[in-house]
Amino acid sequence: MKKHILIVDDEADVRDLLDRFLTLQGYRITAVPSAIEALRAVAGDPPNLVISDLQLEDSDGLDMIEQLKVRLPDTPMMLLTGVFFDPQVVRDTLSRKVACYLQKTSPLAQILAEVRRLVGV
Amino acid sequence: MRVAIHNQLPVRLAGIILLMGFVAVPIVSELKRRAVERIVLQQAEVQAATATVAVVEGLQDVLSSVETSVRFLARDLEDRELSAEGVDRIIRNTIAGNPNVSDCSISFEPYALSPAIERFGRYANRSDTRPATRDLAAPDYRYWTRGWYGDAVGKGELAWSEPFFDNGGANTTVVRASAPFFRMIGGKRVLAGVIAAGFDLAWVKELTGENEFFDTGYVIIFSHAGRLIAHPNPAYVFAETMESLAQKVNDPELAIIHQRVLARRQGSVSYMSNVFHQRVHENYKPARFGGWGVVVGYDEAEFLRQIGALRWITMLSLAGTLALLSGIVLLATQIALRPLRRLTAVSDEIGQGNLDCEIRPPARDDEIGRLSRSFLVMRDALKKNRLLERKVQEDAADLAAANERLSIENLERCWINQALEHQLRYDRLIVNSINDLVFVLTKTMNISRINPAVVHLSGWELQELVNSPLSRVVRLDGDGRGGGVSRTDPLAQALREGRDLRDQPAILEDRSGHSSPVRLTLFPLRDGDKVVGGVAVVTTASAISSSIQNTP
Repeated sequence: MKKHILIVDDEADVRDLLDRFLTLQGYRITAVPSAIEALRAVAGDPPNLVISDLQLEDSDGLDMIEQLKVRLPDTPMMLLTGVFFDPQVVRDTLSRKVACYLQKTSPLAQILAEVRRLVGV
Repeated sequence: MRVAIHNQLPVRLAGIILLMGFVAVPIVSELKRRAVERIVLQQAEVQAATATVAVVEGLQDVLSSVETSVRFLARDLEDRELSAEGVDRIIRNTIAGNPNVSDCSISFEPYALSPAIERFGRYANRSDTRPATRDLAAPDYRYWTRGWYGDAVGKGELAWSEPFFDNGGANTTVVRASAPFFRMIGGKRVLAGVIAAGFDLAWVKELTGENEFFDTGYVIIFSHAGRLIAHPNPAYVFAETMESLAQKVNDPELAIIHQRVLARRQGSVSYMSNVFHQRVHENYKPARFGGWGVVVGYDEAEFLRQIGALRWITMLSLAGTLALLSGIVLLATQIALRPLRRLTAVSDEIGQGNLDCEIRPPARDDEIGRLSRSFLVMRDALKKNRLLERKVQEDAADLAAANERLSIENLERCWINQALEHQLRYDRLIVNSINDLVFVLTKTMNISRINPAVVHLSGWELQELVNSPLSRVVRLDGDGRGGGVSRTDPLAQALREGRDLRDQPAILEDRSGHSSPVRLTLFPLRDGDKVVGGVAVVTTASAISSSIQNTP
């Protein structure tokens, strides 16, 4: 069975590109623009991985991840954002909240490698 | 693939021939039987007709000789001198001279022989030891009262009697021809008497015996009145006529035959006989004398029995021929179809995907040879096609992989572009969000970029300021207004030296020429260890006072 990935990003282009790329790689994708829709989506179809932006229209990505973790305590969360964090911040703060942090300038191959590391092929 | 024996073409062909044979043999046999039956019955009829003619001829020989004798005597008596002794002599000579005549008589009209003798009649038969000694005028006979005499006188010509038993005469069954004779008396030709001659019907038995034919052949002879003179059943002889027997045994054909013979017709008839209890074929023919008829018949079954045997022989021979023909067809098709079986095996191999199977080159140029050649061509075409298919599949797989790579690469490019755009947008967002006037400068202190606060507070538009010296808008307080970069300009100096110049008093001149005091901070822009430009941040007095007010 294909692994299910939930993508949360308010930018349609980002959602669309990630959807197409990861579908090509054999994953089943659900892509939503907001935290509310993400919470609604996981209720009916729990994902194997959540990839979220930091800045959402209706919420902060990290806050949403905190809420999702309540429902999906064993599901890895990936933060994919255009905001640059200092490596010290990433190491000391973000690593406690998310399984992986990647900048949006990271190449897709790197994103794929992280996805595979977290949920397998 | 092994073909079940009942599905093999030779077996099917042989089966079809046998099946058709089983249908055709009885039909052919029946047609042949009917044809042979017709021929055999026609031949039997011809033989029967021939036998009929023979019997009739034999009968006519006897009847004509008797009739001839009577006619001869009648003419002879017309002129001859007659006496009683002479009459006796004539009778004896007639019997002696004609072996068919069994008896003879000469009887006279009153006083015709002699004026002295009223009635005179003499009779003799072959068995008499003393011929011509009988007197027919005797009181116990009185010839003029007899039918044979009266008939001849009445008719005035020769007449044949019906068969009768000559009681007191020959004491046998005879028939008799009677004829009047005339003499010249007193110059007139007048009836003088009757001459009669008979013949013994015992001779008929000899005649029918001489003409026996077939196993079931028989002869019937009947008189003018239809009285049976000869018949296979002796009980009917003289006792029955054709009509009475026809009525008695319910065989109307007998009466019909009699009627036709009376009409002087000849022919044949087939019917189921109640006399013989079998189907008979009868030929009939009238005799020229006496009004008699002859029937020669036979049992048709006698000939049909032979045909029945012939039918079985025909069926067996046809069945044998069919079996032989089936065997030949089986063998011939086995031989003829051997190359076809090889081709079938090859087609099975090809059907299972083995295109390297061996196909023998055709050794002959018949239909099977051409088929073999077509198989070769087809196999080679299939091989080429298969190679082509593989190449197409490989190419398609390569294309699909390349397409996937391109798609991923394209996605990657799109991803990078959007990331860069996002980053740029984010950077602009940061700069544009600053309420102080921000100027991005080249190394020569010319303006390359401004934030919206510059436009808002100075009234200058971007296009008016780009590539203009910073001093056009802002200068350090006490610095003279000049178009270029002064070597003594502390801002340019600080930029060249790569150091910050913080919170310097300066003058902002807006587009309308109005000047106002501001504070200016200059940061050099570094790319690694190189200074590539600078950023000047200008804080207005209102912003400063607001900042002071907001400071706790």
